[in-house]
Amino acid sequence: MISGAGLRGSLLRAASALLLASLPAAAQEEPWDFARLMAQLAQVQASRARYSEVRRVAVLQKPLQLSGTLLYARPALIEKRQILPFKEVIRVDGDRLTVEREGKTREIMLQNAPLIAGLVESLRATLAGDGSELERLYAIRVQGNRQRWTLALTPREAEIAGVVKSILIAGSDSRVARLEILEPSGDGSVMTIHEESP
Amino acid sequence: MRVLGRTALLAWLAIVAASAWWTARHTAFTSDLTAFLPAASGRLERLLVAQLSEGVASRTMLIAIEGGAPLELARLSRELARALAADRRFDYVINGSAEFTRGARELGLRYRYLLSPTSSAERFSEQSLLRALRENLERLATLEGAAFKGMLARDPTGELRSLVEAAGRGSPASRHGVWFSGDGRRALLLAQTAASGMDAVRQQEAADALAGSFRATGAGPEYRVLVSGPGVFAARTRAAIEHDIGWLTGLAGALVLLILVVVYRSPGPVALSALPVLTGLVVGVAAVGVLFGTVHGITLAFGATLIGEAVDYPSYVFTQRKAGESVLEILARVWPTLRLAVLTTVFGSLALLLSSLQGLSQLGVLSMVGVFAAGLVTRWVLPALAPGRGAPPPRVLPFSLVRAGLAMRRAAWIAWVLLAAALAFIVARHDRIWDDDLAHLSPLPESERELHRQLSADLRAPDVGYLLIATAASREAVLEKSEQTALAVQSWADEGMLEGFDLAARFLPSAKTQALRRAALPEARDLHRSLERALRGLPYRADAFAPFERDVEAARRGPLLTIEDLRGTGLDLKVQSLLTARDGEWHALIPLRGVRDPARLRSLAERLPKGARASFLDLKAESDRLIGGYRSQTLALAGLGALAIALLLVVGLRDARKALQVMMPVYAAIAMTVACLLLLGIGVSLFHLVSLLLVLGIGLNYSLFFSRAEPGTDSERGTSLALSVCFLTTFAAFGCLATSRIPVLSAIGLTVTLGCALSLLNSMMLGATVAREREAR
Repeated sequence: MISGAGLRGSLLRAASALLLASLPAAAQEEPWDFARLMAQLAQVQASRARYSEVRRVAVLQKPLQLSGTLLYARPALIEKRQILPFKEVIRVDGDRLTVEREGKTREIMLQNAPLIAGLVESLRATLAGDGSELERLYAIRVQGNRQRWTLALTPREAEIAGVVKSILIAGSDSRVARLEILEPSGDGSVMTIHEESP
Repeated sequence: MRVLGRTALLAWLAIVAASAWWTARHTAFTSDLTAFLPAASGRLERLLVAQLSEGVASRTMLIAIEGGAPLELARLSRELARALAADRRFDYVINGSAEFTRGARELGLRYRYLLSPTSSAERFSEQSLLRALRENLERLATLEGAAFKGMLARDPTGELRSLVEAAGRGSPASRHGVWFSGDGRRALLLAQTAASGMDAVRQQEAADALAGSFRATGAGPEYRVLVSGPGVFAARTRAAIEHDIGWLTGLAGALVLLILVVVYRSPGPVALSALPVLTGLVVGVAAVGVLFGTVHGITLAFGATLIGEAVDYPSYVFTQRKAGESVLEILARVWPTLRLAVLTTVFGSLALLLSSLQGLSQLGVLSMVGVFAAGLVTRWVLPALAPGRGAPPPRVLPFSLVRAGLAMRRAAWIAWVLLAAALAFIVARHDRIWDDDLAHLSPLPESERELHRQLSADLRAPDVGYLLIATAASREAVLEKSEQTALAVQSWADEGMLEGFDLAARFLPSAKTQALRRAALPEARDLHRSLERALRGLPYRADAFAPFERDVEAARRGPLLTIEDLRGTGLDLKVQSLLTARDGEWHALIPLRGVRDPARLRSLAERLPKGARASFLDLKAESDRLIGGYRSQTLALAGLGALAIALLLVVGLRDARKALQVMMPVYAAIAMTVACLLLLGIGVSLFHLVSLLLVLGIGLNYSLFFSRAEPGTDSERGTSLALSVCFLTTFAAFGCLATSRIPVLSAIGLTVTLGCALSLLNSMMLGATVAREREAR
């Protein structure tokens, strides 16, 4: 049975590989790659979205549910307002990150915090269509097409790689719909983004 | 006479041979710079100087890479750190990256319950655990959650986190995972050389190895590596001094030789001219060796210049030769004046001799003995070696300094006006005459010291400006005591009196403190029960904190942290630099950062209870005070020397008025020189004072010889030539020295060149003359 399933599986894979190989020919007027994805994303001036995040943590009985709103404005502003389970506003503008919680504000310079900078840029540089920044931090693989693409990021720097195994970002056109972080420990989080019309 | 000559020759040969033998056999030459630094007076200052010159701190190299974007700088920093870590000339290297802090982090993790000041029995109660677990739950939902989560199961109470945060407060800024200067222009590293900081040769090797490793990283030409630190300073100082001494003495020697050859037109007198000064040097060095055991390299260098005056002695003789005259016959005329010239310098050197700064008293001995020996050689050995009358008379100058001087007397009012202006200027600046900053005596250029200050600040190396020192009989005892001191200092820091401080016990708490913390850890069963209760109602898994329970139990049963455990983590070096044994006592140094009110801290420190007592040290004030003390002592001794010289002149010239007339032009020149230095923005330091003593010696010779020149006679021509030759040789030699990059050498060069030129001019315009005496009669 097991070998039968394996055989079927590999047959299926081979078939889909063949299909995929023939796809570019079918959609020749619209080839798709990292540069085009970035160019497309770079056209967005500002965006606003609601998000919900599921964070799996090994020490917890069930995953954490987080939600709030996201705001992006070109060139380098990103604001994440978490509403549940508690209120927290994270605002990144340029190199400066501020965290506001319970009326207290903390400030971090991103260049002094490589891990946080890596996490922030995975979203911000993607929204900004800043390909060179993404490539500086991550090894990149793009799949899919304009309507349905995925971007797989693997950290280059040891500091980030110790905590993040990979980041998968999925979207369509110039919208980011989903951001999944996989950690080496098996923990991870999935953020689903519902963009609001501008 | 022949017998006398032969005796003199034999005695000279014997003394020179004995001196050379003693020096070769018994005298050590050192390049250790501390002989010219103030010998620290107090027990604590001595300790500090020793720690700085021999301790771990002296082996520290501060390294910076600059010249490009932070990302590439970070890459170069990693490559360089790996290369140095593999190089056996370096014991240790750290650039802030995880790669090189892993050892310290693992140690911190393992011993966190013994290291953490927050570790206590209360920490493990049900309430505390509940509070910590709730906070953690919230933290999981924050941005840092991802980073902090890794340690959660092992360290829910956050001991490691507080240790890392405490360490982070004293760490440099970081970019791309490695240390950077605050502005991001330089990537920073710290390395520890295997060689002692004072081993200039091996320090140079280490610096070369570092430069080689940097080239091997493939850095572009726009990237530069900068290195600083006590060892680097030692190597550079040595190189700079050797370079300048070698090159400048060579040049000065060649110039002097050229002048003498031109004047004497015969090799005999030229060769003989070198004899007194060489003899003086050999005998003087031997005398220093006998009295002090070691001769400092700089003493030798300065001494050679100080007895440079002795080059003039044979010149005063040979230039006055009339046709067919023997050396002995010239001496019969010249010796009374020359004897006074030699003795004035010998008396002047007394000032140095009595200095409590070892370098200066060595100089005093060398100069006193050397000049005296040179005088004796001129008087007794030269005639024995050159008894003949065959030597040609020296070249005759187309002008006469004596006549020029007499002619200039009409314009003497200019000199008086200048003197009055100089004195007025000195009086106006009387509060800013002295420069007692030790740093200005350093042979290193200001730019290198500025770089060191910047790197130290960027690397958050504690500035050794203010510190507390706790002292006790053993390492354990001093650790315990300093922990008590630290409690007080922390409370001062909390009140904002200082920013922070360094403490060995932070990395190696005393066994007593560790044992207390260990005893506070709960038994496995009790901890399990408290944890179980705390977890009730929280969304954690029941077994989530099993690793925490295992770690606490391991710490409870495990050994205490010892200094051996720190080895190889870099923390051992930190502890060693802050903890030192000397004279059977242990000292814990507590360097203070960002001190706002030193006076207040000092009085607070004085009121510490016995078990926490520590002495407060203000190093800059201390060193300024020491240098200022040496300066005023030197000044007082110089005054004494001047008084002795005055008495000598009165006795020698048998005429107080004439003695005054001889001294006046030289003191006027010294006043003008000081005014010039101040005008150039140079404060008068210890070394300027020493140089002024030399000016006094040389200037008095000018004035003395000038005073006995009778216009229109052979003595006028002879004196004119003698003064021209003496001044030119001095000018050549010290002019070369003035161009040195080493502040002390150029200070001496400039002062002596200026002082001698002014002495000569003043002697011509204002000095005593035979003519004036006649006019007076």
